[in-house]
Amino acid sequence: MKIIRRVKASLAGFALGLLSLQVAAQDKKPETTLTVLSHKVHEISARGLAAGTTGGDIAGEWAARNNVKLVWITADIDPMHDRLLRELALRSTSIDLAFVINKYATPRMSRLLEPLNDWERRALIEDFAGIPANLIASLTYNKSLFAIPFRHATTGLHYNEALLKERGFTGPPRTPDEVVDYARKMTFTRPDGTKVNGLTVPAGAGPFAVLSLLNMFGAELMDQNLNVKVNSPQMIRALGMLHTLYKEGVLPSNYATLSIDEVITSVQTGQAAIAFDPFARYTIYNDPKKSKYPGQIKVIPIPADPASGRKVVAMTEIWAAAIPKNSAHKELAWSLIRELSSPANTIRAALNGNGPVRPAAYDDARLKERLPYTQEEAVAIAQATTIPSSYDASAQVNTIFMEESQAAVLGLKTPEAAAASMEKRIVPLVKR
Amino acid sequence: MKKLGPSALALLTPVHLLLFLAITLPSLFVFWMSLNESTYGVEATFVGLRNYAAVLTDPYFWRAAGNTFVVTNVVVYIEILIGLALALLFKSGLPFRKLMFAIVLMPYAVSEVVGVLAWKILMDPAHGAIGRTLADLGLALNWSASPTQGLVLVSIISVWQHLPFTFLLLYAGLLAIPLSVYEAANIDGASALQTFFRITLPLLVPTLLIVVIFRLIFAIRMFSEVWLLTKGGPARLTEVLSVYLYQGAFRNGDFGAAAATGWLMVVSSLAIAAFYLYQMQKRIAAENA
Repeated sequence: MKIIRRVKASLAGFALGLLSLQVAAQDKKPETTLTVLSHKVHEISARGLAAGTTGGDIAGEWAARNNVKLVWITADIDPMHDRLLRELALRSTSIDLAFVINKYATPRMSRLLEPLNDWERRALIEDFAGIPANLIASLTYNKSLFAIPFRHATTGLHYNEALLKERGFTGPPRTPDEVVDYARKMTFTRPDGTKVNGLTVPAGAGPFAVLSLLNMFGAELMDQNLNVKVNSPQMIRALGMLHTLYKEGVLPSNYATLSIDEVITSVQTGQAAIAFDPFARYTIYNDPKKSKYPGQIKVIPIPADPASGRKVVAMTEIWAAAIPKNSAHKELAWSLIRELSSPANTIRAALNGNGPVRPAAYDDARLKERLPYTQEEAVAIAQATTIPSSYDASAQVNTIFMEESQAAVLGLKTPEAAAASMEKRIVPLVKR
Repeated sequence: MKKLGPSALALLTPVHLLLFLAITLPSLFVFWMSLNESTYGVEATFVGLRNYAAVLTDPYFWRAAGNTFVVTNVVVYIEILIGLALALLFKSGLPFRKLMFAIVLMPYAVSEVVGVLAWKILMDPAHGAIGRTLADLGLALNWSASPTQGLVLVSIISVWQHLPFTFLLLYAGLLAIPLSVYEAANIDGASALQTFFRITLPLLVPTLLIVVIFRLIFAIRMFSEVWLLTKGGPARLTEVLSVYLYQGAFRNGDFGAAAATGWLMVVSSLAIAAFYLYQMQKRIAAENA
């Protein structure tokens, strides 16, 4: 009898278990897949994937709360935007959320993205006013906001403190002339045979870092009102200076094809003494697993010409989150944008290595303690300018700038001829 | 000529349908696109031959065409010379033949992208094993600054990558030459050079023509070697036609001009292939006469 009772009890328990499982399964909605297209750096900062970072998995926590499976497609900047533009041109896309960089955020692209003004009115981003108005304005065409700023990459001057000491310098350069002087003196061969280039810049990766370097001498491609300034005495002087530095071997001999990865390697191995690169590169330059000089690669804002009245110069690139008009999951995509954009998560992403778009984030004690470079970055971002892209031929203009500036630096053209040619070719494209 | 029956036609239909869907239809679409102004997210507008006129009057197109012409010819003919030499060496009997065969074929087993990136790292003038060694020997190859040296390196990589293909075809061609012809030449007292120029080379011409056709067509489309190594730089001086097309389509978003460039490449490939096919046809007709 006892056995029969036990069997009955077990069967009843089993049935009850099955019933509760069924109820639970009915309650749980099927998981939705949300596909994000971005550069790898966004996934790293939104999910805390880099070793030693402390911001945690912001996107992962949101996905778990919302029963979402996040699929992250990452690629380098140009191929990523190629893919995005092709996806945007289709009737429907599997891409639900994309991170776009400002140089690609042209009116043509903005027309293919979901206007976000209504979404922002319906479900507010916490402390939206905390995101600088000029950043919001750069992502607005015809009063239509098409992306929310998520990350900035602002250029700084990275220097190898150990190598500087080796050559008798006690501190970093503080004026453009000093940068040139330091770079010349830092071009040498070490006793172990390592050839050191005094100055490096990822000139093959796009115009951004090169323009930062030229900007130090007061040269610019165009102002914020799209007035082309490329054929200026400052540009001619700056290109001439770079050509001289190239001839002297201060800039690497493979200057024209230098990629971001090659610059990182040369700084980590002590083959470059000074590099113009975004502030956030600090972490990777000082990675104890990869760098020969962990903790000794420092970064400061790029010094400005004292005659300009400015203390520092900085170029910045803005990455912003956008929803394709042809996406199937706009509601969820907006929800993730709100999550990533909140003040608290802006700080968490910054702790994961992101450039925070909210200036208030720089006051956070955790950021000050863990990432000392962010205080220098805060100085730079206050002065930073973007390369305007509110015209459709932005990519073509960048290509022309790269072509002509390379020709001048390598000595294939005179700086005067290169600057004149740039002006002649760029002005009609901007005005078109 | 024998007429094909319904069963033969039925068997051939799937292949032709596949070719039509995979090649003819996209080609026709690209041709239609070449007659339109077209970019991302904008309705195409018919512009007639304006894209062709724009491309053909663009000095960058002609520079890219010039680079393509030079690199293609250098690569194909050097590859044939080395491939032929290797094939002769293998035919004459080589110690460790299987091992040597594997070594010669190895570049073909490596992904094109991986191969080019490995070359790029090895040839880096500052950090690369070969680049630095050459620099220490006073033979520095500054391929990223000098367009000529850039194209030289592109040619070296292309030859390295495609040599196995050329070698295999030529080796197969050599093996197909009957031994009795060589025996007859030997009995007649022909020297090694006479045997090569009077027997091997003439009998190898059909294979050589096929190699030339295939390799010229492949080489005209060359992209990854240039894109991964120099991206067409410095100052767009090492750009080849496929890089010019890519920049136009996916950087500038000008699909009409890019499609026109694609069709101009197809037409030039067809013209080259037609010349060599005509030579082959003439030769076959002469042999059958």
